[in-house]
Amino acid sequence: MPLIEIKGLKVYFHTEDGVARAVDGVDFDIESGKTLGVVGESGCGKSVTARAIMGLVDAPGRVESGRILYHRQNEVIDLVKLKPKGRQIRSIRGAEIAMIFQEPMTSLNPVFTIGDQIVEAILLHGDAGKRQAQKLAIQILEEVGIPLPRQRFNEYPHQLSGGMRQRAMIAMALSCNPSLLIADEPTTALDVTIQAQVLELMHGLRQQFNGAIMFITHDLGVIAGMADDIIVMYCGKIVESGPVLEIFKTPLHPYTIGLMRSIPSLTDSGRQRLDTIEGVVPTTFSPIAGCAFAPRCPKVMEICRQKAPACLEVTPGHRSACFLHHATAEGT
Amino acid sequence: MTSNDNILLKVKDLRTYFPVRKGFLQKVVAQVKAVDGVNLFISGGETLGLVGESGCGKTTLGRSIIRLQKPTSGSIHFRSKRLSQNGEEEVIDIAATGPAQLKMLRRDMQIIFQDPYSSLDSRMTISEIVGEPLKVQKVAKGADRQARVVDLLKAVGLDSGHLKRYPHEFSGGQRQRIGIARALALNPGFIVADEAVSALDVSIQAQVINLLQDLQEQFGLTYLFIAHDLSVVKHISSRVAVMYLGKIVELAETSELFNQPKHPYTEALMSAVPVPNPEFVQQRIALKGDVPSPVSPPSGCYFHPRCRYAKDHCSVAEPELRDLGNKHFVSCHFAQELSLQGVKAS
Repeated sequence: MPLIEIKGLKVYFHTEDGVARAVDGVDFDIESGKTLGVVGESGCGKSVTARAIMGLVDAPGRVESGRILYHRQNEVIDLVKLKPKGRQIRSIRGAEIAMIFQEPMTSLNPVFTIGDQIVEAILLHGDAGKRQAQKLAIQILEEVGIPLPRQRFNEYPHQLSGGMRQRAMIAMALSCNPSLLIADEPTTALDVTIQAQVLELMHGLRQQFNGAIMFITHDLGVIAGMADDIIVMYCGKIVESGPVLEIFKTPLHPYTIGLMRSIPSLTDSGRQRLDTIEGVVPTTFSPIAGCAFAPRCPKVMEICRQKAPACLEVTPGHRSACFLHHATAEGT
Repeated sequence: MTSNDNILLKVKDLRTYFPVRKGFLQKVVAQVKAVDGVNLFISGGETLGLVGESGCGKTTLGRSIIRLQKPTSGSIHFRSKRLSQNGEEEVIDIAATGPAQLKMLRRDMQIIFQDPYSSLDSRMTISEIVGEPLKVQKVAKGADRQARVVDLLKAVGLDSGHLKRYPHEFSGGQRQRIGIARALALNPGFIVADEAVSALDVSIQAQVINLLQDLQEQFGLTYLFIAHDLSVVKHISSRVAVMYLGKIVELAETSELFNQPKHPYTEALMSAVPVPNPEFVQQRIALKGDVPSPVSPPSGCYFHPRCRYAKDHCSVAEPELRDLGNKHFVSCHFAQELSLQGVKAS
């Protein structure tokens, strides 16, 4: 049974310029004990999806429709139906579903010490006493590889480097032993060598941690080494999903293929031209008739401009939202 | 500098320090050694990639080379036709040149900035932005200028219908194209691209990288391509320089640098780049700790506290950047003894 089931999720932003369809009908599951990678370019709706799970969609954004079913021990909660500031979501957010953000500078409070911020989370969600919480916080700081955790406990965020701050964020997120950890571009703001350190740390956590991880990134290199399964998003929709190996070895959707070909890789040889995806990402302000990728797609057909393709299973576990694969998908 | 080896620019012992001031009297208490004795040359028509982590001084080096930042000491010899009347090439020291000469030299060297959002004036139309260099340098007026702007926009893949629009109407990739058109306006020979594609999404980044390569071919441009993304730098550069704490630690032909790195920092940097292949078992060399502060760099070799091969000698003596043959420059005492891991082709 999946930990989280997302069904027909739509999140729209009602702005002065019109309605932005940030997430426009998304279905997927998050399984316990697995890492789900979500990739896509800026504005594809990957972060908004994560925020919807956390109940953190701010005005003018709104969850229009859909369900986010959270399977607890022996009950199922629809996170969409919970009051955004209600007691129930607050007991889940941070404790059972925790999140690591991209910017460790802005997501830590500059006027409290690292230790205080972690202790606060533990006290809020658990029934540990203050002394016990402190002990626990120091222990977690040590687990995420912060040297001299006792000393760091009393330091303020500005005294830590970017990589250390991100470790502190991870420590805070893990402090309540969540069943789902959402990591939204956790290494994007870091330098490569520091990114490598944090990725190593998250790799280790993957083994120990028995909850699920949702790892959001735009970097195909990062996701290749982290995820068990991958979702590729484009313009608020899932265009392809499947096991990591399949997505990288036999990508199906023309967008995924284009994305893979347009990144220069260190292991490429020779100085050839990069393949590109022509054109630009369309805005999500106007509803798109047909497939959102059609205007940029090298394999566009007549039907693509008229009807939006459903995301169908092409081979077991591997889905694609492209008419090219519908014949195969229906045959199976 | 001899004229026959096609060297466009030669940087010698360049240092750019920023004073740290403190207290009521704003006394200088320390120096941030952003660029700390850099030697390099750039040949005409090539792309020299400059990589390093944030704070290593790569941007300051780029800005110093085109004198957007006055260097503290050192020389930058640049070959230009702009200053002499008879169209002959002259070699000028950019580091020491005066304002009038510098203005002339601006025609020959331009920069493309990282952030396509903050590097364009939001109150100017595209035609004003791209035409401004022509106006400032009094190169073209009126209909001439307009025609040149249209040509430039066409060269970077934008159409003349965009002339009267403002920057906010464009996407990030298009804005970066506008920035490139502006850099090209005066027909420069040398362009510093400072993280020019870093802020762009991958599909757009590929378009802009291809555009930069096309323009290089078309106009015979020479690039100093500054970036932190090694994959991009490897793709676009003919030679690559690796910077650490204000110094060049290694400089070589691209394929040689990536296949046979000679500096432990280069090796670690390359091993840290995530590879988009789930079957690839990555052997990351985890560097200990963070980059030290450039205010008080470590003794000896700046890299020694994080180096896994460091010996006692490294903390005492500072290594020189020396040529190991084949123009492969390294500053490591043990460059010849170490056998380091390069990039394995998949």
